Amino acid sequence: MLSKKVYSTAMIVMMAASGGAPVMAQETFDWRAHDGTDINVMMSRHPWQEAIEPFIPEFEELTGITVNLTKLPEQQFMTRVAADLTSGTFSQDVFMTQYYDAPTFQAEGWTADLQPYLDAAEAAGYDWEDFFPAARDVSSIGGSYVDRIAITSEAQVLVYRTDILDDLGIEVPSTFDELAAAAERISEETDFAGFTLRGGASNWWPFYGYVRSFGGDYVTVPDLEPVIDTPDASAALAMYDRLAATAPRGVTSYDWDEINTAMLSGQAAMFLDSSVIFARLQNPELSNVVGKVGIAPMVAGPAGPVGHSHFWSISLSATAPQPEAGWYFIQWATSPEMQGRIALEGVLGARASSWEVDGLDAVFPAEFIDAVKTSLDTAVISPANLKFFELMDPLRVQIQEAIMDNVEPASALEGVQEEWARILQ
Amino acid sequence: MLIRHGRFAPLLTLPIVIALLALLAYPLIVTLGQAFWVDGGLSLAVVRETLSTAGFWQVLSNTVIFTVGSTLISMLLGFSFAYALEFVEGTRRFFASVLIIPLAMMPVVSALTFGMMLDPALGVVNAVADLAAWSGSGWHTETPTALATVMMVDVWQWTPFCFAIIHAGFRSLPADVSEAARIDGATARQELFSISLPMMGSVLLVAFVFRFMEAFKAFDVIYVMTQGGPGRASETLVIRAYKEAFLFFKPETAASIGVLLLVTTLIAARPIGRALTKST
Amino acid sequence: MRHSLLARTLALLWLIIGTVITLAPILWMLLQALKRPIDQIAFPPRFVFTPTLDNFTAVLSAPGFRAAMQDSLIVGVGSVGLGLLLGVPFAYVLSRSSMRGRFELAEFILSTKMLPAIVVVVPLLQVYQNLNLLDSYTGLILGHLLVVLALIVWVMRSFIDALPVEVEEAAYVDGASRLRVLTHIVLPSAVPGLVTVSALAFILSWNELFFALTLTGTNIRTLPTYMATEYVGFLAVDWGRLSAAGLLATVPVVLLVLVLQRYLVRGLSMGAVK
Repeated sequence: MLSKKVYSTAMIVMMAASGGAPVMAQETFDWRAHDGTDINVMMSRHPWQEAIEPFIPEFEELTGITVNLTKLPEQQFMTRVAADLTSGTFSQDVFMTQYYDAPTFQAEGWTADLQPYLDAAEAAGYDWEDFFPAARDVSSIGGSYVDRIAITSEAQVLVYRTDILDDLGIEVPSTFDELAAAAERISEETDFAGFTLRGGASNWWPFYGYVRSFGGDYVTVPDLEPVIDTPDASAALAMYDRLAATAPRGVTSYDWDEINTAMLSGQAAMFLDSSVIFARLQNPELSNVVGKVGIAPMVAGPAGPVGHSHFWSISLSATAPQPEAGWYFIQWATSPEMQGRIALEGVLGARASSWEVDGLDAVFPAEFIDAVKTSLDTAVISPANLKFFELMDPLRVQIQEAIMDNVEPASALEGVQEEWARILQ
Repeated sequence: MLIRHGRFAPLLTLPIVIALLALLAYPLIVTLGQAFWVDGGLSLAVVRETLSTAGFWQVLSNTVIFTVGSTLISMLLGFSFAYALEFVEGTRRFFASVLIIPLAMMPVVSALTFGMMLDPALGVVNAVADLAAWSGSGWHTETPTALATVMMVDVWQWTPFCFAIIHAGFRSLPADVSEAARIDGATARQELFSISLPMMGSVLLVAFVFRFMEAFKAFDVIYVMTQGGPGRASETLVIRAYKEAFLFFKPETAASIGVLLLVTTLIAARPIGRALTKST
Repeated sequence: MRHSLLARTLALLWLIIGTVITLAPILWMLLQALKRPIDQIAFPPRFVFTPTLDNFTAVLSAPGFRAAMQDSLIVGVGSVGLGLLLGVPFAYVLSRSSMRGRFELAEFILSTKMLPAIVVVVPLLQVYQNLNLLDSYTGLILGHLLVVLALIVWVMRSFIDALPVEVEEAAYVDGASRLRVLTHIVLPSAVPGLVTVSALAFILSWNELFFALTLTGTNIRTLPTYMATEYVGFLAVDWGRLSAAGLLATVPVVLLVLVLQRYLVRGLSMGAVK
């Protein structure tokens, strides 16, 4: 199944494009064309799912389509989707996707081509150009056709405890060196852990921002030559290792959840991870640190501030029992209007207009919007390819070994380089 | 041997054969095909590639350590509790009821709970250890202790299974035999090793076999707590098969691991089955 | 029989240690279940807090939880029932006949128990698609059959082995049919064994996650799936609800074991010791 060589170019520089709020021309569009149809929609548990779920009855009202929603936590979601797609028993019409899976899903023909639907929608005021350029590129990142519409944009940002930095008189770090120095000072002079990061199964996600900021990369594009053993990448891992040393003990089991918990419970002072974590820190029911959290753009390495960005997307299954009605759900969910309303629920979307919707300043502090926009300006996504997760596994292993000081950063990455060469040959 | 001839025995056997064939024939053929059928011919290429993946031998040795360790410790603990229960009266029912509880906990829930309790920085276990002036452990988050920690949780979960069976074994030993031994002046140790244990051979074997099989394919606890990490410290063959199939989309590699497991189990099932047959 | 004071004290001490280790995580779950979210992740962990029953009421009033419990019961009872129906006759054959190949088949059944679900689930899904079994009670019951069958066959065989064969021979001499001997003589005497093996098999089905997650869809959701999907969200595990639900989910099993305890001990011992 992996013989088909489908590579995707993925060096996408994101720009926070501006665009006026689009005029809705949906009066002419027949939303009731699939009245009485049932569709199956599968979502991963995610802030976007939490935000859109309450609006689904409105969609059912508007279209007369009944939505059967299945929502699973990311782990179970990926297992279910993979098992059903592989066995050919996938019965969903619409499902959430991430850009890493695009090459595999297209090579296997699991996702439907959305271009015809997009063309029809455009006539009804869908306004494709309203999506950020990077989000439009993500739609066809699988290499051969448009099979997904971005629903969120996340960027790597610096989140920090304002009170701790103030107490020690530390300026908000803007470079990796300042960040590491600040984290080390906090760990030494206070009871807090200076920093927290993903040391667990998805450590490759934030680490990509480190590697790019230090001038390195994972693999070349489009030839997919591994370049993880460069001095730049080693320096990035040394930095990751140095910051991990200031993190709470047990950081090798940390993913988003644990980073979040370490901040919420007031254990750690800073992290450099996805902007989507921020909203939760301001929830007084969960958080001990409400009002004490600041946010700043991605810090700079020798090659500048190059954070990792992420887009969740939704796709139409190639075997969807109700493709037309399924597309209606996608069109509705990714419409300028819905993306705006979801932004007001605290989830920033992939449409430029959703970042300028009225009332957004009441949901997010201005510094949050600024920080995310600034970070997105220079952010990149990692090179998706057919063997993406297979490649990430040995990297994950060696990052953990380096964090635990079982191996030096440089030789850790040499091991990864060797393994990647074997996988990609 | 009561049913010697005729159709009665085959008739009683037929339903189970049909059910197993319907469920497993196709999956087994597909699995074997994926593992050995490459480009229209039989080949060991997939198996060879599987054996050469990074860390495969470590994963294999983790599997052996986890399976054997978990099984033996559960058996020893289960046996010791069941034996200790022979020395108490009055409280016996209470202890028997309490010691069986973990079996009723769903492995997913207990794995999540243990993960949180054992978190080196935030968890309650190290916090309590701190009060005792012990700096605690890295538990499932550090190389030296990760495999032992997931084993420990697995042992917590499944010791009651061994305990329940062995306890029943002790309870059913005929009282007159041990009393006779006692009158003859046998010590408690002689009684245990010369009388009780030999009579309980098959009880111990049943407990051992089914405990061993659960340990061999343990998934929930390891995946929830460590996903095989850190590094590959707690990765077992089942965890690897899962990743190959559902994360890397390499069903053929997962199948070849499956075949490896199946062959092991078929080889293992034979002597185990024979032993079970003889012992009763 | 009396043991020395020292032996009894040591035994009691060991049992108390065992009880503490067994119960500690469960007590911690109980504490978590009684906490508000902000107390659940507090550091250092809190032992003193204002308790709330919110988590228990939320779990009990969630329609999904009750539905999941019902699904788990149906699947558990169904798979154990079917397992007994298929497994006990074969166990009888295994014990009482000289049919060729019976041990090879029994060993194969034993090895299916060791084959991880992960390896066979993808082709199994295709089989289910063709037989129209996906997301149905029948489908999951058949899936769980693979989980319980080996236990039922092998444990029941040792029970039947332990029954005195003379009674059956006498019945034949009196002219009873083979089927009548099985249903009227063997099965009634094997009741303790049936109870024991049913309880253990039920627990295996009750706790099974992987088949329950992959072979079902929107119609059926068992308790392990419900708990792994409902209280584990993005960026957070809902510790309070998860702990409450986890404790509540053990109630039927604990009740089952308590009710059957007398049978369990008698049953387990009967088959296992001759």
